Amino acid sequence: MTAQTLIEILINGISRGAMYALVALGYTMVYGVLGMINFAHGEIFMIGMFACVYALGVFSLMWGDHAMVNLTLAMVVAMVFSAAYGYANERIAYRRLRKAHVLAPLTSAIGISTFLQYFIFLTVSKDSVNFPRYYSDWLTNNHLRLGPADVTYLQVTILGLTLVIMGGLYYLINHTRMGIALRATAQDQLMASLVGIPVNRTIAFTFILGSALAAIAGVMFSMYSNVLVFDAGYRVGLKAFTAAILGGIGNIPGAVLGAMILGLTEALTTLQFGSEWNDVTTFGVLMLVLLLRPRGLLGERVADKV
Amino acid sequence: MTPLLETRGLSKTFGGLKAVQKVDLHIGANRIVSVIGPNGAGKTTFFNCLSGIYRPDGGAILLDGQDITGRAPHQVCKLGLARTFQNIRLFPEMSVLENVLVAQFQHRSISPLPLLLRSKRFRAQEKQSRDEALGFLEFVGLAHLAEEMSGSLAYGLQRRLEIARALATQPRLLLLDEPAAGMNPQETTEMVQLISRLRDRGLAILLIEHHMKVVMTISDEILVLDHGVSIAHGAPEKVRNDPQVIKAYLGDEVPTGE
Repeated sequence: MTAQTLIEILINGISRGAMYALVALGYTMVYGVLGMINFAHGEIFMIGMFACVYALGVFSLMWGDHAMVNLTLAMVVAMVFSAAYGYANERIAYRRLRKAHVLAPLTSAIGISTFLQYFIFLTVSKDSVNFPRYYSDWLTNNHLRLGPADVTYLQVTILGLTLVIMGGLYYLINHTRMGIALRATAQDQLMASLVGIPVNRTIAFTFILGSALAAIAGVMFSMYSNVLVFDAGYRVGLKAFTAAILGGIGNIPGAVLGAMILGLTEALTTLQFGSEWNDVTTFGVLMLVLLLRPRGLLGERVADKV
Repeated sequence: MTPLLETRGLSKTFGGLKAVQKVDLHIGANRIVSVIGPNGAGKTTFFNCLSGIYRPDGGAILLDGQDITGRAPHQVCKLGLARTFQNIRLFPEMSVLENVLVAQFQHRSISPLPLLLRSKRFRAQEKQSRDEALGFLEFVGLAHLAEEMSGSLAYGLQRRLEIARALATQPRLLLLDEPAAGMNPQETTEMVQLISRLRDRGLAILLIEHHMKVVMTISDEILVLDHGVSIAHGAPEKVRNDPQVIKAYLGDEVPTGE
């Protein structure tokens, strides 16, 4: 393996991993706070993709093609849409089931996931939709030279954005009033409520935040892969969920670590065997890690909580 | 004058069990009132109704004249009622200081803008709430342990931290559920002193306690529950000699001078 291929694998792997990480954070935050797996989170990601592309279409009709402006605004629209869907999910499908048996919200989540997939399939598009090249060309065709290897502007953007978001999230959780309320709610909902924390609002906030992050990932991913399909959320969601489990679900740095490992595994697999082997190797890695560390890589703290 | 807390015919039933039956109680500002009674008398259920954990089946709860019956715990807390638990219930994965900071939630600004801008005013607020939290820790004697993990504190200190956390919600009425349980005589004496100092801060205190010596020295009034029913209410001397109270205890456990 030359230095060039090594660097390219690293860059491809890390930027894929960064997108998975943004989605995995949503799984892990909701699990951390509620102890449930929000299986519809992948669909929230997918809704972000579609909202972005349709917003781009509307904007270019309204005031023409100002690439950066439209793209930024479309990202905001995607975040708002995803956040609204994420909030509605929590409010309609999960809140009333919070005290029910764990299988009840899980089943509800699977139902919502399927519902949203086919809702988009039937009402928005039965075929795959292409991301408008005009908006992604500049990001995908321009390169930075990094030693012997090339990095696209898109990859740099993905990495930069993800790093900023991680930093912001870390600060939010550890050093703000909302973060401390979130941690308290995760540790003991009743006690949090007794010291004056509006638990329902805190949980809703968790869903909104996770959904907005998924939307950012959705926009990045649609530029990366150029194609939008109604079941994209299912595929990427499954990978991100795997990343969260791999890192230790409920643990935020764990989700990022798991996503990076997954992204690198995929990049390496694509190069060595071709991308059709991706699912074989990533889930192989997952099974291997779980055999050796059932709680995931950084997951020791979760065990006492569940 | 409106009492700080008033319950009118407060009742709570679980299946066929009448855990609390038509309890009437008035607590004036700055009073220490103890709730005593044999095990299973409904004391903790009474507390759970007051703090919003249980929704009562009948009757009303008024805090400072305002009806709080059936309100959610965080709303009751905001109106000035805080509590501690018999089985200590801290946030074990937070530091001692964070356990107090978390209780200031409702009294701090919610706007994300100053947070993002990290304005001077925002930093001043942050420092103020930290100083206040340290003040509460100082009051219970834990300021030097602020950065420790709360789960690693000794048992008696965890109880003090629970009180500091309750204080940080800025209550007018504090419910203490067996604050001296499991403590040695010296710790118990210190707890009694702490409770008197709480009253000196202007708080009213409703206390569940099994140590009769504690109850008799500290209380202005005592409410005796038996099988969910209020069987006596009055000054310690009066309650101590009440034949019904003596009978209730002899049937179950004898009040000891421990």
